[in-house]
Amino acid sequence: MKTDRNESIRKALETEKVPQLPFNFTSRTLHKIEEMQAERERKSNRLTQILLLITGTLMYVAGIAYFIFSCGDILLNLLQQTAASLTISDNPAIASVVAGLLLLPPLFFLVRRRILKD
Amino acid sequence: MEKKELHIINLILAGKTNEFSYFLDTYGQQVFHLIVRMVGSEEDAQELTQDTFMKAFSSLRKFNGDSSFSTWIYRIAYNTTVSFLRKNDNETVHFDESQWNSISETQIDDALSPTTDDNLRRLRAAFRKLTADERILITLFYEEERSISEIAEILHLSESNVKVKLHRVRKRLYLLIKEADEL
Repeated sequence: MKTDRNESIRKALETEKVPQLPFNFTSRTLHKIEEMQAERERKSNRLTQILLLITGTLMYVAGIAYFIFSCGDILLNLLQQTAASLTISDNPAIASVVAGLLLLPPLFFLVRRRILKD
Repeated sequence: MEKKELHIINLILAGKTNEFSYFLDTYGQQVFHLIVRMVGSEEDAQELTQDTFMKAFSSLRKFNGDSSFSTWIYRIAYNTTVSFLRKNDNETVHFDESQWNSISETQIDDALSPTTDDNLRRLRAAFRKLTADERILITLFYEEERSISEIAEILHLSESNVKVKLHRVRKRLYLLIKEADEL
């Protein structure tokens, strides 16, 4: 297809002035690429942390469920006996265990949130 | 595909982002040139060239080396520019079908062949009135002298379709020159 009859089209294009890219194009684009790369890494880290948080929470819930399932009856009997003789507030050891169990999930969430913010 | 380029791609994929400057330096101006031809605006072309290279960087892992890097980046440039043009304007071309069919090859050759300054000027004016798709076809074939198979790969067309389109572009150029002469 490239015969002389196309010479004029080629010449017409050749003689048309085409602008040049700015001298700093490479450095500017490279800078943008690095920014994009950093943003992508940040998002990836965030996703990993979120997945860790979900996994941790699920493991905690599963652990509690397993504990209740396997020794729920014993625990219930123990609690009933203890409740009959004294109140939780009378026994600092039992009170701290119960408080620990209740406070652990919100504490876990707070710590993770702090990490995610950083 | 040059061995050197494959080696550079591997370095970039291994985390040496700075090595991408090789592709920016080697193909930046060529890609920009192609996009300028398509969009006509220098500012838009600069943005689109940057977008093209950023997309290429993001998809570098997908580059399998089947085609040359230049064909691959041109394809990205074409897709990026076409998307941009679709968002910004709708090029519609109207012409008289009966007039279109009655044009002979001799008429086209007679009108397009002379390399006089006046004819070159008329050709350049006609070129600016072509659609972006037609301009890229002309640029790739006549200016960059790319093969039909390469053009087909860049524009996602069959080789026979490229040949038909090239023939139609010549006809369009002839009609545009004739139209300008009548004014």
